[in-house]
Amino acid sequence: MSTQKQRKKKVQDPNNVIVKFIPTAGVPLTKITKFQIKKEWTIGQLSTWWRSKLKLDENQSLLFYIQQSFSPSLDETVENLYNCFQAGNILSISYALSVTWG
Amino acid sequence: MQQGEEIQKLIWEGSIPLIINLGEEMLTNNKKKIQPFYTMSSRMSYLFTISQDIINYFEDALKEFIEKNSDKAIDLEKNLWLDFNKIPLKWYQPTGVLYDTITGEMGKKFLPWELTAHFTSFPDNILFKISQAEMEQLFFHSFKESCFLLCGSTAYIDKFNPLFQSELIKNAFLINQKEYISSLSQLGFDYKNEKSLATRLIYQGKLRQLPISPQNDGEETLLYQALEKYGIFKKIDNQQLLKSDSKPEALSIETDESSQFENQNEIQNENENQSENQEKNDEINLIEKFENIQQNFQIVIQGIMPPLDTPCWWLAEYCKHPDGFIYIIVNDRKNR
Repeated sequence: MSTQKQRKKKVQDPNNVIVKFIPTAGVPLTKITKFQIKKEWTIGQLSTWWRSKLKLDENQSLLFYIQQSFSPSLDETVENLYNCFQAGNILSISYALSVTWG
Repeated sequence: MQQGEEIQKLIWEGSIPLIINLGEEMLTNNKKKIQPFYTMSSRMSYLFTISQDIINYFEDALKEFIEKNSDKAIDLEKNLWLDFNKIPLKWYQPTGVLYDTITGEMGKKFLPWELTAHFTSFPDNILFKISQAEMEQLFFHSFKESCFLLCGSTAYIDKFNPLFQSELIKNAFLINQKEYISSLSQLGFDYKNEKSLATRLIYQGKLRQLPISPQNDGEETLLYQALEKYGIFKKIDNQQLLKSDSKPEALSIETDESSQFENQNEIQNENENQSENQEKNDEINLIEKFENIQQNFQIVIQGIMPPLDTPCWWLAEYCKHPDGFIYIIVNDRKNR
């Protein structure tokens, strides 16, 4: 009787969505770029968390952009942005240390 | 003037009378009574735009407060926040939206609207501090966001010279309707045929955002259909909705193969009658559905309760806020 390897498939929490962080020129890079993020998080909360991941100094600014076009408000939720701008079930967010798309 | 343009003009002219008191914590001399600041705020504008007027009005009291707290450097503009009945106001949302949301939840109107100004104990967990320049950027990026939802790109905005941006912001903040519409017309939106419409819905204190297609299978998307997409009607008694959705038996189309008509004209007449009956019953069902919705919810856009069969593209064209979004405020009626 042949044994079958059971592959554990990572199940996505329905309260989370996948966010992909896209670096712009001159920003610190990370090995992992896709994360499961709580839908209810605001951009302000996401920014605080991502700053710690990037180990940014307090005086360094961090800007998020959607669709390489606009910067979402700090109290906009990840869920709202995902519902409007996801592609292939992934919300892509570009990050920059200075104004990139005015 | 067309009806839509006339309504748009009236909406832009709408203002809310405000009475602004200084927070008790700011009163250094209890014996001295400070008269409140009376002003009008456009429904389309932001409370942020009157922040300097508030600071100027309470200048003397604020001087005393700063002198007594000279160890703390206070940026008055950044630390100012307003509350209504101890509810901090997100003043980077349009004033009319704030008013409709808060007073709607309480089930009654408060006019003049009595607010309190504070310069300490900033509620960081609810609001974020913002400067004039940051507020302008926030507004413009919100505008770009709505444009992206409309037509899937903002490249055409970026190609305009920087003057376009500053003019648009200035005219939006100063409520120069004609100039704002003139700036907007350069972008050439055709709301009826754009990719989707930018909508924001506030229900139970939560702001949600969805793109709504202006047309569905060649038919105009109506307001109640947009609300269905948000899923807020799930709370209505399902049976009530099922009852209104179900087709009366008289409408069921006869499929019995044994029933034959001798005359082709009779078949045609019968079909026409059935079609007319179907339409009439669809209308009755829709009216019942609207009654159900209106018994359970109060739907407010720009301070008014529009008919639920209003086309969404029309709302986008004439009832949007200067940031390009249609704000739909939904309140439960049963909670009152």
